Amino acid sequence: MFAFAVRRLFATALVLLAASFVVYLLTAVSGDPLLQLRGSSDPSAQDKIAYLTKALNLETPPVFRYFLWLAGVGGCFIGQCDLGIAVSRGEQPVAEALAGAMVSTIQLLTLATIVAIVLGIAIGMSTALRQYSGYDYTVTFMTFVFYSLPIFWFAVLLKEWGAIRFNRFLGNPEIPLWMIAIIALASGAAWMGIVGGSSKLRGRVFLISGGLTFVSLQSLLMFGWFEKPSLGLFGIILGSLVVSAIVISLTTGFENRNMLKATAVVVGFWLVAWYPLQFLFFFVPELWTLLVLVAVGIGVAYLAGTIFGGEYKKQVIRSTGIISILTLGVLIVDRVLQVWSDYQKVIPQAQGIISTIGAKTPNLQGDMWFAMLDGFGHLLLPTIALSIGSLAAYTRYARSSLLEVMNQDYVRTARAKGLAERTVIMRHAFRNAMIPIVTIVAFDIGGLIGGAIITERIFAWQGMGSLFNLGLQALDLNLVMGVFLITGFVAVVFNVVADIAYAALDPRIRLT
Amino acid sequence: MKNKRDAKQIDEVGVSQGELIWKRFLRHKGAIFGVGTLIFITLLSFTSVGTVFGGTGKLFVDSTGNFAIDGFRIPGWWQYNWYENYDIVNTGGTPTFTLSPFSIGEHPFGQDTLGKDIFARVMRGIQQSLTVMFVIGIMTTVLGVIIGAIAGYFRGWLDSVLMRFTDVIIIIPVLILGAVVGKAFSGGSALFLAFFLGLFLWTGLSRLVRAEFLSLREREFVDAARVAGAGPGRIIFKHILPNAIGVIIVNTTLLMSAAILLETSLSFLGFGITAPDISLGQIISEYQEAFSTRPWLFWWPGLFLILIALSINFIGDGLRDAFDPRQRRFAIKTDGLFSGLVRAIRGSTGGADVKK
Repeated sequence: MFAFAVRRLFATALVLLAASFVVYLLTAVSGDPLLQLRGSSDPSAQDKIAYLTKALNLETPPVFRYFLWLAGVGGCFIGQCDLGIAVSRGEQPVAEALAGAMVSTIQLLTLATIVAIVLGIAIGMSTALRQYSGYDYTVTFMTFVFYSLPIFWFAVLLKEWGAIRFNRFLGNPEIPLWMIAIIALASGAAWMGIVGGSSKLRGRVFLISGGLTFVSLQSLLMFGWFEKPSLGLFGIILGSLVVSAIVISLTTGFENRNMLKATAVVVGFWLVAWYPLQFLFFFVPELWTLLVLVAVGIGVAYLAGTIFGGEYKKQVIRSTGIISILTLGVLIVDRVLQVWSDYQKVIPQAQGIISTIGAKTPNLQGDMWFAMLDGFGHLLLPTIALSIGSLAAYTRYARSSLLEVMNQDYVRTARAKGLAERTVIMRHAFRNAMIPIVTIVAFDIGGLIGGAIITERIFAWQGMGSLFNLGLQALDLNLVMGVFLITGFVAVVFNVVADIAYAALDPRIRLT
Repeated sequence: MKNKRDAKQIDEVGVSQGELIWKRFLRHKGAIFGVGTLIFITLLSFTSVGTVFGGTGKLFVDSTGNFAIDGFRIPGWWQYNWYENYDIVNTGGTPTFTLSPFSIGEHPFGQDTLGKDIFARVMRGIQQSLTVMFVIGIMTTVLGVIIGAIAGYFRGWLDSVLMRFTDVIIIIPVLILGAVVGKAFSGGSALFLAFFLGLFLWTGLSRLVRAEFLSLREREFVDAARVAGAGPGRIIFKHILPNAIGVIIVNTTLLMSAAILLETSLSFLGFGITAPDISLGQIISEYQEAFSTRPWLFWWPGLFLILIALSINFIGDGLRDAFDPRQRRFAIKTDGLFSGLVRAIRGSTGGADVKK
């Protein structure tokens, strides 16, 4: 495998070199970067032209200029990167501009990718397990719509409905009764479709989930929750119970008494810790506090799993670990929501909680919790816009992949030896169904780095995509090449990663 | 008894592979809906405002000072065109289209601030976007199939060279291609843009075709053809290609839906087709700031764009099902994943995996 990776990386370097040459030439022939200056009647324009012509080596034909640029890039291997200057950004060095843009792009992409993967796989699998049901058809139709949605069109709608109108709603939270009824009906229908089963069970699920939705929405409105959202101890208990129920039903099942005991210990620990933690959160709002808490959470889960795990110790530790981290997440959400009304007073009047411009509110005063709420408000819409397409794609892939696996003989064997349906699906089918998806995700991430151009532009996000766009509009060769260098590199590296991941997950594949 | 008769009938009549696929395709409701919608939109857009043959199709001011279109203009049945300004009928240019009482009115999709007819503009935009889509589809299919087939059939150094070449092309950002067309060849028409993009977008298809050829060339029927004295050209096009046609058709369809979104995205960013030329993306880009005041400028082009992309995706899905019916229905127990939860709620215990 090592030899394979080395060989592939070597071929990759050659490919990157050739592609960068083509890109350089294509951009160079697109036009004259000094066109605006040449038309200017400003007396200093001539000097500026002469200066830039020299600084950018415009006298040299593009074919040879490429090698001058390449020499600068080659300097990176000996610690002296020279990617040139970006004229369109006030002659800032390209390396500097890239460093800033990378951070915000990675921020944006990480969340969008995680959301798309988790939701896509969950939805895709649930439709595969309910193949040819009403739920399956509805979701399939929705994925087709999302897949056909032009992101620039959708993002403008998001800005209007998700930000402007939603902020207005938060200012004056009222939902008409018929709207609540529709939401409740939809939620009931969705849960009925997901749970499936006999008509009696379906009817009951429909009534319970629809009724719950109706009652909870109505009471949230009545208590003015949307004006000042918070979780409180009650919300935390509810959240941790929901989290535990989901994780347990997916991993060990409720029949496993040991698992239930361990979960009770872990959730109980966090509930007891909730009150003292508030002081810690208030006095030490730092990132490392959270990291320490994550470590504590894993430690508690390990202890609880070891003590109560019984014969399935490893599995119990793993599942309680997940529950522990997710419960900690609920606690953090609770803490962030506590600054909600203070935050609303600090931000500019016109902005609202859900923002559509940039990555953060400029000059925001306040501690980490403010910054987290602010970051969330800014990330929400671009993340939705960016993840909706890949969400649809992953849903389709996960569905067809799981269907393929469920038809395999080893799944029938697993059923035949009397395993529970959950064990068959989660242990035997799910793991194998993930193999093709891992490679698709790796490919996608490689392509995404440069692919956020439209989202970044609509939400005024200063990332790689907007740099690339700016460079192309201004025909700023150095900037375009700088972005291409990074995106091209990431793309080819992730291609290799996809191949290696495939071989690592599927022992039948051999890399040669 | 019935089965016996059926089997006998099949023996007598004989259903060809093509007929089987066609029947399966016709059973796919989404695909039939897609075909119908696509044909309807194509006919509507080309007959309503007419079209332009030859030339760049762009707007210019002629010697008499009037607007004119470069190329031979064929008029349609709609009384307005996409480049002239008209008197504003409704205040603010709101659409005259109403459902009850049903009436189309003068400007069904409304007008913009200058009084341009949005219906005519959207129709012209659809024409341009469809043209780009079909040309890209044809170009990529031809190039992708040829390169993939040669690489897969001959293998060896030719394969390595072609595949490394594919790798190079695949990482060139499409946006740069759009910028080149938009900036360097600003006189280029939609056809030219499509042609240029098609030169670069065949990579995905060529990889798939190569993989298909690599496995098909080892099959017995290829050996048989070779023994019978067929040359490489004949084996590739007459023997292997018909067996790979499913993969090619399905992926071309999917690529076309990606192509129309790509073209509109390029226009939206200000590359590719730009004003005064029209495409669906260009219309959306031009009017996006007006969304809160004149939403109809924004709704109609987007709606048609989604309809086209959706139809093509459904057709692609139908074709995939028709060519590859392997994913059949499988039986799953009625209450699956959530059985544990349901049982726990009811208070009963059970399950084989824990109490072993």
